[in-house]
Amino acid sequence: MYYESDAVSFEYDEDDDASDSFSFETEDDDAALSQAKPLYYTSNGTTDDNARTSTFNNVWYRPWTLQEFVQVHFLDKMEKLKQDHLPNCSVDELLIMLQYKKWQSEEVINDYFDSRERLYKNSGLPLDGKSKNTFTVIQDFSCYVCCETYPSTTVYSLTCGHQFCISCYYHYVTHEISNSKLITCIDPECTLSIPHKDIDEIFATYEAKVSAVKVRKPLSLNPLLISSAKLFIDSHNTYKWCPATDCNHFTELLGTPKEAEEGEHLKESKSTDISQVSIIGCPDHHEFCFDCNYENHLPCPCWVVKLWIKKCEDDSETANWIDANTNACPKCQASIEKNGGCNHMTCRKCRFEFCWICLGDWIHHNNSYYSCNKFKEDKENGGNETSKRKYKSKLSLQKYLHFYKRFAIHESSMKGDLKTLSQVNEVTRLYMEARKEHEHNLSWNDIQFLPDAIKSLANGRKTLKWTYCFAYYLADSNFSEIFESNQDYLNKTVEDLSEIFESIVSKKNTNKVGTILKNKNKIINLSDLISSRRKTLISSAEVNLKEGLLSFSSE
Amino acid sequence: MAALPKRIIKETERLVSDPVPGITAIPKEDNLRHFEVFIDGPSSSPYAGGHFSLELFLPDDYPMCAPKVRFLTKIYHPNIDKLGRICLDVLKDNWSPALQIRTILLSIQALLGAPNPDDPLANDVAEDWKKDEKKAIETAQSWTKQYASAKLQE
Repeated sequence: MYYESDAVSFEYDEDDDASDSFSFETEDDDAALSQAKPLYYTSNGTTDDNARTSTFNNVWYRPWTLQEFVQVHFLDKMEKLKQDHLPNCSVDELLIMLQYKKWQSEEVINDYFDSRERLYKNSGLPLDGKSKNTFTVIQDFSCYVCCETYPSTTVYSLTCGHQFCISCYYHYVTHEISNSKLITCIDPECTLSIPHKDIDEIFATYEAKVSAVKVRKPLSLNPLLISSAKLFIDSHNTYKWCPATDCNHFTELLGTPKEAEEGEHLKESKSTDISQVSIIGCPDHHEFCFDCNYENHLPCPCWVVKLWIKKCEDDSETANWIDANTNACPKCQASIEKNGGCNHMTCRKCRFEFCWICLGDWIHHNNSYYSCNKFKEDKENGGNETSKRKYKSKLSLQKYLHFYKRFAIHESSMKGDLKTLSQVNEVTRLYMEARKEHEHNLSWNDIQFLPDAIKSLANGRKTLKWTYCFAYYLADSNFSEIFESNQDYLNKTVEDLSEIFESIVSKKNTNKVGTILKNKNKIINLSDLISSRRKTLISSAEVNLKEGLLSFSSE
Repeated sequence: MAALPKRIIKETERLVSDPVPGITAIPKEDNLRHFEVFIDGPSSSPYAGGHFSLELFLPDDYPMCAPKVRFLTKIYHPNIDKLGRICLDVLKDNWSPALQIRTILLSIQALLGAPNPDDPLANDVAEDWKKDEKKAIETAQSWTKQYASAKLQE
């Protein structure tokens, strides 16, 4: 009964909260990915203390949280506009004008001095600059929109005086916010805009009605500003959202758009120069590739990743399986799988009797029921076209399954590691509580090695996972053996560390804190080892690809 | 099913007790958010004499979002496509929670009286309309007679 009346719709990330994933993350600890280097120049020519550079290939980037972005791009801009040009305008007015002009300060200034009246009218501000927006508690109020009569409720109205209940305003604003545009008075004839501050007040008042606690949030968390920031990020190709699960952060690629275009060009070709892959990080230190917006997939180049994902998604392997394991009935072409028994086949469909091996009529196999001479001949001649192809698809399926299995195992282990991480987090909390009771005298710093180790474990797994995709496409050579031995080393270290963590959180372990402390040196060593082996693996792959010692087989 | 909001109850009551001339809207028994609607073509338009059937649905977040309305009767109109979808500002960007089912249906009736081929939904119809308005109006009249005459629906 439900249908769409319009094809146009916009999707937005619903997740708004800027919660940090784990409480004990430290600020600049992701040494594998980045070193904080201040004083990079951003695209708008200002220095940016938050710029970082990736050690993989010296990409400049700036990790952002939504709140920071709103502060820098919207609120600071507004402050500057107020100080330098329009000191007589209120914060509300400036934000509304900026929002109306899509955050282009220049345009606001031009329009303001061109015709203040027109700018005010178009952006929905009262012309005399005196806003009479009010939140009042009214007795016996009947709201025109919800048709409810309230014995007592908060009512909001703009300068126009059109009153609607707070509940209707809350739902109205919630519904309109995703358009990232100014929100006007509910009355359809009225064009006055609701100031950002009032939106916060509407939310706070409504939520206080429900939860009895009135929470005031900073303007940098204003839902309209956050929604506008999201739109801005979505529509600018120098920003990318972090692809990690439940991560709301994003990253800006610094540098001129021209460079970005050239980079684009490089990615088009099947370049094997993996130093060109732009691996960047988000404020939570999740590493990801700027170009394909996928997690850090080194040592694979982007195009190999694309091939692999497509291969894993589509059913080309199903086709290969059918090709390798079934024969078409030579008479009616029905697909037949032989799941046992001798080679004397009878098609269930057309009752044709044939030999499974040579697919010839069974009549010609008079005396040799259990061996097909023709097959031997074929072998001597190197096989006919069909059997060659079958053999090839069987091999290719086996090869794919071999690598895919390992790829998938590491992917699922990664999820397991994340679970372990949250458990270790809990153990750490218990440890801190115990410390308060003076059971042992170790400081917080003494267990800071844990989150670092978990992170390097997760990164090690990520790299390992992608080495299987890499290996699948790798052409055989002497150097592929070197790659494989690097892979083995990394694999072993990762498994060792993972085992220690599992023993810590295992149910049988009654002294979890003790186990952590006992294994402290081991954990630190292993996590360092993972980081260095990971680097070795990637850089040796990079060098060998560059020198043509490793190459990808064409698929 | 969740209880019907007071707003919808009130609107329904008024639509039944005080109907707009030329428009009827009656909720279906099995779903009170789903209305069966009939709109008479405005007398001065090519749709005069037509009795058009529509369906109207009030989504969960009504009145924060517009009702969904669609023509069920075939109609030759530049702003209504062959699936019966309607291109009308108040059904999309210009919707306001202070508008009602009644006002929306009136707007649709007005759209029948004033086709706007410059903002088309059915491109082919709009082109015909702009090329040869007289012929387009004749087609609209003949479609009205063929598909929307009151007798057919009884």
